[in-house]
Amino acid sequence: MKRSHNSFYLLECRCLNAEAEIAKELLLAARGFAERQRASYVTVWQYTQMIEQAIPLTLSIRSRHPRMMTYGYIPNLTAFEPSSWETTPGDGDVSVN
Amino acid sequence: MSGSFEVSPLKESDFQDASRLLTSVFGGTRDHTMGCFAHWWELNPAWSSIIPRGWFIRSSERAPIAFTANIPFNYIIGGQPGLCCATGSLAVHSDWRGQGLSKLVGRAFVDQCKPDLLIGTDSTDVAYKLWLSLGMRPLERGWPKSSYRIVGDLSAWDRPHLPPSRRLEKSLQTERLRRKPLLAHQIKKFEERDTHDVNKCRASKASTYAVRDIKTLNWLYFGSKFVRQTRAVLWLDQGNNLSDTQR
Repeated sequence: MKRSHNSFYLLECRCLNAEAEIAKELLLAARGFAERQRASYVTVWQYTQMIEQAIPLTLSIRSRHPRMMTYGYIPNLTAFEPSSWETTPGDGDVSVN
Repeated sequence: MSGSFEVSPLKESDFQDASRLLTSVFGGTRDHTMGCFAHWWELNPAWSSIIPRGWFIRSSERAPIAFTANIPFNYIIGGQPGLCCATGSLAVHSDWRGQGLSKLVGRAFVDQCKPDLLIGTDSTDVAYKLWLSLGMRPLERGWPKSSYRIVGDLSAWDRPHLPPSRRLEKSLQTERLRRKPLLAHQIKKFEERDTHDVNKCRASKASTYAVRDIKTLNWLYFGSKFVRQTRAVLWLDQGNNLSDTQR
C-alpha cells in the first residue's frame, strides 16, 4: 500500500493460489492497519477478479476512480497473449512518490 | 527539424542535467529526482549496465532538453521468464516543444532490441497519443470505472477524541473474531527464507505477470528512503512462517 495523506492506496495484493478468501482477510487486516495509522480508509481498485471478489462490501464505499488507466504495449514474444496478462495499477508503480 | 538533434542513452554523468530537466517539467526537488534515478536503475534487481537507462537529448549548447526513462522489470510472459521495460517521465523542456523531440526519445524507447515486452502505463493524454503513434497497442481491458474505499471503524469517527489505545484495542478485538487464526503484520524486509512462500502468491491465474520475488519486492517497497517513507507491506499467515519474526 502507498500512504497518501489520510488514506492508503492498494498497490498490489497477492495471495496463495490467488484465493479471494485469503485476499479478503488481508484487506480486512489492511483496514485495521490503516486505522491504527490514523488513516481514514484504504482505496482499492479491483484490478483482478481475486480483488474484486475480496472487497468487503459492507465496510466499503464505492467511489468514482479519479482517472482511468492507460496501458500501451509492444510485445516481442509470440507467447504473449494480452487477455491473460495480470496488469496492475501502474504495473508495479515505479514512482517513488 | 528534429533530424538535427542527437538522441543518446542516458549516462550516469547526465544525471544532474536530466534531474534539472525533470524538475523544471514536473516540479519536485532535485534530491527526489536523483532518488528516482537510483531506484529505477542502480537499486533495481532487473537492471544491468547493458540496459539503457533511458534516452536524452541536449541542445547544441549542451542544455538538457528531452528525456524518457527505460525501467526494466523481470516478467513472466506466457509462462516463460522475460524482460519488460516500462517508460516513464517523458519530458521536453518548455522552450523546445513542438519540434518532435518527444517522438525522438520515444522512438529510441520503442526501437530498443533487448526487452520481450515494452509498456507505457498511466500516461498523460498527450503522451499516450504519442506512444500509440509510435506503434504501441492500447490494452482494451474494460477497466472498472470505480474503486472502493474500505473505511475504518465508522463508530470511532463519531468520537474523534477516542484515545489511540482504545481504538487499537477495538481493532484487535475485531480481528480476533475472525474464523481462522491468521496473523497479519507489517514487515520491513523479505528474507531469503521467505522465497518459497512469496513465490506461491499471485493476484490471478494469468500466464503473463510481473515477477514478485523477494529481490523485486524488497526493491519496490523498501529499496530507497523515498519508498520506505510511503509504503506499507502487510503479510498474512497462520503463524508458522513469516510471522515468526516481527520485522
